[in-house]
Amino acid sequence: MTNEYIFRAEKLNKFFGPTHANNDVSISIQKGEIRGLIGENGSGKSTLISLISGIIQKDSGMMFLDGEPYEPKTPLDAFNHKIGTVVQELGLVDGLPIGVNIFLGRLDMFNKNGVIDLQGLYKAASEHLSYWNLGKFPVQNLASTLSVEEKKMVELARALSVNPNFLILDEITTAISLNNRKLLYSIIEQFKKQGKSVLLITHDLEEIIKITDNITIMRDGVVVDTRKSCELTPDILKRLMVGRELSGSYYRNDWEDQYEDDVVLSVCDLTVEEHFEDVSFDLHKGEILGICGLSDAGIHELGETIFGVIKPQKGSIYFISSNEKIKVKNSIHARKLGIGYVPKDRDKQALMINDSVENNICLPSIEILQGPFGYIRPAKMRKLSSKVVNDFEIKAKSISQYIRGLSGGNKQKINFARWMNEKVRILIMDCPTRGVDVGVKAYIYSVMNEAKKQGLSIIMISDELPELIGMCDRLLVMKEGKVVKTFYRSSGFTEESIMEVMM
Amino acid sequence: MKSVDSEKSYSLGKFQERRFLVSRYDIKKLLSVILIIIPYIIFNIFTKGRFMESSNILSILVHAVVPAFVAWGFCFIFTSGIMDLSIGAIMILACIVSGILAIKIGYFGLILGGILVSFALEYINLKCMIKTKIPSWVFGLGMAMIYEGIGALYGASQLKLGKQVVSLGVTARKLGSIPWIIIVLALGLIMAYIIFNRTSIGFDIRAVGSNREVAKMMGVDVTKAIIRGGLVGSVFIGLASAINESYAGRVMPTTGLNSIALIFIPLAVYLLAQAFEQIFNLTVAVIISSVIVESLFNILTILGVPSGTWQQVAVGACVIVCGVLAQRHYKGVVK
Repeated sequence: MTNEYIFRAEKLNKFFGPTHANNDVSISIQKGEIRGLIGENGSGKSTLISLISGIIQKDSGMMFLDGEPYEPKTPLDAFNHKIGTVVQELGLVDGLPIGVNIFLGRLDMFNKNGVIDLQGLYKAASEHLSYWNLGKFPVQNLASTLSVEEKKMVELARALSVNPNFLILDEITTAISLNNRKLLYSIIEQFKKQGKSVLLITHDLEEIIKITDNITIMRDGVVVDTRKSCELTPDILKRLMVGRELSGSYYRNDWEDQYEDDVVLSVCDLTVEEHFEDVSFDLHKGEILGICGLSDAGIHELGETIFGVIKPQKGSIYFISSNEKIKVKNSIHARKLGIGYVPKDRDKQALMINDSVENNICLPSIEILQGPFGYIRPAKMRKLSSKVVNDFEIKAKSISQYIRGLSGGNKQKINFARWMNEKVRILIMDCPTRGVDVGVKAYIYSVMNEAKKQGLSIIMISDELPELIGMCDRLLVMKEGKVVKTFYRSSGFTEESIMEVMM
Repeated sequence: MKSVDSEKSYSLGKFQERRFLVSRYDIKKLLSVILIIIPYIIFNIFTKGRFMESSNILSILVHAVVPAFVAWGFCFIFTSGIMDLSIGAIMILACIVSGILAIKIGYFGLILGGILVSFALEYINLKCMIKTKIPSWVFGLGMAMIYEGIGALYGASQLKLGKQVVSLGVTARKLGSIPWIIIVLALGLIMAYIIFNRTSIGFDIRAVGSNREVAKMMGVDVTKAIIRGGLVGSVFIGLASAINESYAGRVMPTTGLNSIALIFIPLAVYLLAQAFEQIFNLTVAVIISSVIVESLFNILTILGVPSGTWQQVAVGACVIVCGVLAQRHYKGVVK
């Protein structure tokens, strides 16, 4: 008799110190099923997939793969059982070639008399990438040469390289642009046709309802429900996730360009070779200016350049205060002028992951916190960080907990919240709600709205069109490194009209 | 700017541009070689042709062999994040055992003694470091004192017997002289290159050194990778000890952490090789760096700078400069 389930878990439990991350979790996934897994940050989703993928081991409970008991001790064990996983936070080994990354841990496949057949490995990697239509990568180049999105695509290639019967995708769609999302959906569709299964974690409610068959909802480490996707709406999902009613839309409900005439930032003919050229725009006081584009449009690099992280080959950025035009020299200068930056890659560019929540929150506010002779009173730091933790409902054991122990969403809350704490005048936000659940999203948008009313100017770079449409006064669409069109809120944005310009 | 012909061509477009970097890379490589050669010509003029005399160049090459072998050892040990400071003390013990066995069974004993001691002691170090989770440099300092102590006890026991620390005399000295030392260097390079770049040992150790957590998630057994890499490194350290014993004839035990001074030049070589890593393969860069560092001391000697004073200043400066160069491609990070 054949087994109808590819994977089953019964009463899985996992503790991290006093935290009960998975509490009697039971889940069954059928062959050929596309299952969604959804829940607030810290609800136990990532713990569950780490257990299935052999990254961590369960404390109690049982797992079955194709009807057989399954207890992976290592990720390699999971690979050998044809389970492919793309995890949210960890990426690739930067110091190794792209091709080697695809087969790392299984390099013995290419072993010829004790020596790795690199040519064979690179050929297999290229063939594998083109088989899945994942793009043409120079597989012999180091992974460090790739962008965040390109890395995600290589991670996907790596997960697919084990010819998985069960594919687990944790928050992959938030890191990739629309064109690559379409490709991912086609891969998922292909899996379904072949009778293989996919477990998809995403905070994009519309997306998860659209592409999955069933959705399992987790809250506080417990599976609270599993429903058919076709019976769900985003509002029902929100309620199930947070356990309370989250009213309608969390975006702005006005359709006017609401900002002052005063220009606070002027970008003139900015060019960074290989990324974008001749980009010019003005940012007004109290404006939310959106920037969008496909994967190679240069939108993320533009954000870094405005903050002074990347030095442009041509053009200038001017900070304008009381009619005084000050040229922004670098990121230190930008910070002093009151420009803040929330990067897309929070682990590498934003947070000190091996330091406490307290220090991470206080870092951008050192100048405010310090007293005579630069002395910073610990009590002041504690007060500030505790306030931010409470205001943003950051789930941490204490303010002294290290950042590396927090879930992706809580890390992002800190990444964002610490800038809201300081009195910045301009905030550049690159994918501000990446890996963040609906509750936190709603909170971030409401804080943005409130800050906008108080005169904060925001540059919002995002791969998520709905949030740009929902929040921005003006939207710059970039294509091939150039600003090709500007949309105004008052003229009405539609996803279709923006996509038409982007593609 | 890039052209986008289809949905998936963005990657190709980007990398087609990157392909130009390959030619830039070759130019960079050529420029580096020129930049290395120019000072040699200048120094040669400065020393009235003595510096680039064939005998002097050969002498530099011979002196570069032991630091190169030790630096190859570092490639396998330090790359995984293990900063073992007891390697100098291990080398002294390996040299002594190597000498004792060489007198008894010749070249086979010379090489076997060096490798066995280095292999065994490094294995103990790595196992204990992993088990105790003590920072490797702290553990290494402790073990350096213990190994130095063992060497000193041996020296004292020899004195009691009215003997001296083992000396090779004329036995097994060919390994440390031309042409064998150069042949061994070439074999060492081939071995280091293949293991570091073409085996799972090399890839695993590089993965662990680059990002331990990601490597673990990708199925690399981190502990196994560190131990396997460390043991390969210990073979190079053992070979360095055997060559050193054959070249010098006798190595005296030291105390008071003086053994660390033994690894200062190889450390400078390793750091400089890291600085060259974007241009040359690390294992090849080790030889280039070793020759450069040894050339520096050679020039100082030719210019009559006394050893132990200004030359010591030069060693310290050399380690710092090489360290600075090695950090250049790590933006704002102290490794």
